[in-house]
Amino acid sequence: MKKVFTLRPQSGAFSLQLPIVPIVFTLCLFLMMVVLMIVGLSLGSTWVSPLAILQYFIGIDVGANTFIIESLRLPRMLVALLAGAALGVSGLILQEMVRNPLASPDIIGITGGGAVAAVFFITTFSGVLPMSLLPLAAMLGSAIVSVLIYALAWKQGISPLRLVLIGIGINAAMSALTTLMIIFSPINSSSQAYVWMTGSVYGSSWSAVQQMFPWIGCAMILALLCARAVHVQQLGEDVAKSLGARIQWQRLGMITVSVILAGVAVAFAGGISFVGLMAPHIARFVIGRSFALLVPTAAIIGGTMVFVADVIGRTAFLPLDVPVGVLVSGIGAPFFLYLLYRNRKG
Amino acid sequence: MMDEMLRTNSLTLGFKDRIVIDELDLDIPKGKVTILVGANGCGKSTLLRSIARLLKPKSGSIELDGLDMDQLSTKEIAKRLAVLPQSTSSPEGLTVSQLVKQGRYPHQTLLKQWSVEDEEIVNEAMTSTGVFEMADRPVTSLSGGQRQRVWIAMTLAQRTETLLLDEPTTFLDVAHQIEILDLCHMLNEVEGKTIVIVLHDLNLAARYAHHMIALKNKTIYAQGSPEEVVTTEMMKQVFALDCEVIEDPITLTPMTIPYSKKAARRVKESLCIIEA
Repeated sequence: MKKVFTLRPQSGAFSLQLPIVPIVFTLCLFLMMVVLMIVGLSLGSTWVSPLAILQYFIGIDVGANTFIIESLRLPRMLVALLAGAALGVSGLILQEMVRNPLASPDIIGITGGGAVAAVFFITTFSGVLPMSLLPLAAMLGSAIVSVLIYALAWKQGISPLRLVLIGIGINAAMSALTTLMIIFSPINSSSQAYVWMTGSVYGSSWSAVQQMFPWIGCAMILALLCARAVHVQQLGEDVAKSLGARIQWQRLGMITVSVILAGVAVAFAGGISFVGLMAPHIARFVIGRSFALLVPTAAIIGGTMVFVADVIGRTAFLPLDVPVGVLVSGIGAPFFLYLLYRNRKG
Repeated sequence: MMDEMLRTNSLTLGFKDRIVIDELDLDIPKGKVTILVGANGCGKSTLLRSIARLLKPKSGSIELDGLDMDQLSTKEIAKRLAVLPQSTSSPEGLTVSQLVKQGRYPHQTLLKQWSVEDEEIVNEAMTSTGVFEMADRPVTSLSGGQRQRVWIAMTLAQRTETLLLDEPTTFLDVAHQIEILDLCHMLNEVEGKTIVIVLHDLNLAARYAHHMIALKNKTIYAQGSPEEVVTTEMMKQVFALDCEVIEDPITLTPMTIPYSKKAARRVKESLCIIEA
């Protein structure tokens, strides 16, 4: 079988190369995600059979279960899924851009900026302003801090290593600032801030899904359009330049897409860490190098990680509802170490 | 003049306060192999990098085909001028054909990512550099000489009239050095490419160059045919080295044989023997 299928109609209007095996893998992962979603919707303090869930989706009335699916479980699952997908792709873009596998939005301070703004909002405006403005504050925080990192990293252009180092520095400052604000805040708002910082999708509503979707959808399409830039930049700065790539513009574009994705995720699901680092790596294990396929795969893997962690968090410790961020790191980290360990042996 | 395809006009290059090349006017002849030589740190790589627009000049300009490079878009330049930088690294797992394909970057658009023409040109580039058989192997698994040929194949896929190579033989053994330079020679001879190389080995430079440029003191010390450039005087001035220049027994080009402390002793010893 040929490894690559070339899409090239007679008219010559467009031409694309499609690697067959990775595409099949991506589709398999997508199916797996759908199955896990159905299982996840079934689980909870009240069991809803998977059949009822399928019936709900094709529009058959499932009675009292409608409320459980439609109002309680589905929006929460979709917020988790979207946040995870956004973080996965955000990390993927950063890792490719700085050509360093350790980059991710929570390491270089993008998430940290959101956290400072969110904690500031919770501790200062709690009870004064409506909590529905919290996502806006978090997004704004991420954006401002990203601009700061970008500006500080500028030295006749952006050098990726400089960007990461400055990001790590900023991140340290941000976490100090958040801790300080929590210490000085009253006890009820500080516990609220803690939950937010670990990352939680508790009580997510359809309006959150509606607000997240356009941002993430557009950013994902933009991420796909970065593929050519990513591939040419992998050859190193000199080669990319000599091939005619405008690498500073490309980098600005990639950072912007990455910041939008991370900012939206942080705004609605809080400071979930680790997904941005891990999802791209798992995607690479499965897919290989093609960036255009790594984008959907990292999204599927990141999204699945977060919603599965959330399903476990809200079912395994009943009546407690454990914040999703705890489980993502708690289950994700050992799993990641296991993958690395197996990779070493193989 | 139409014979110059690359020309610099009072080009000044440097880093921060340090000037490396000062007000240089340089012509690089079309359809010829030009080799830049000079001592370490004389600015020959800097000059090549600036011609390749990897480094912004402090002042002055560079003309390509009679057009100011500043007026051309980066993609437009990339269609006329290909560069192989001194050190290259290819990402883990990238195959030979995937790397060579990147040479088509300036010719592709978002919609036209892999035309019939692209495919033909990539195959041709891999064939003429002898890497076609390795098309599906990862670049990182190849030897230094093979790797360099793959990178040259990538620059060929760019389909430019001019090719700049910055010390392309640095990490190669002598057989592979000859192999790479033979390849450059062939590309010039058969395809009529203008080739500019920065090279350390003077004897090989004299063999392969039509035109040699020796740099010293931020500017050109000598230029012309290898016979005109490679002289004992030039070696003394540019490299601060005493040399004999003889004729290469194979190509009849100039060949330098340096004196050294050890050689000097040998000469004395043999003189003593004769005197005795």
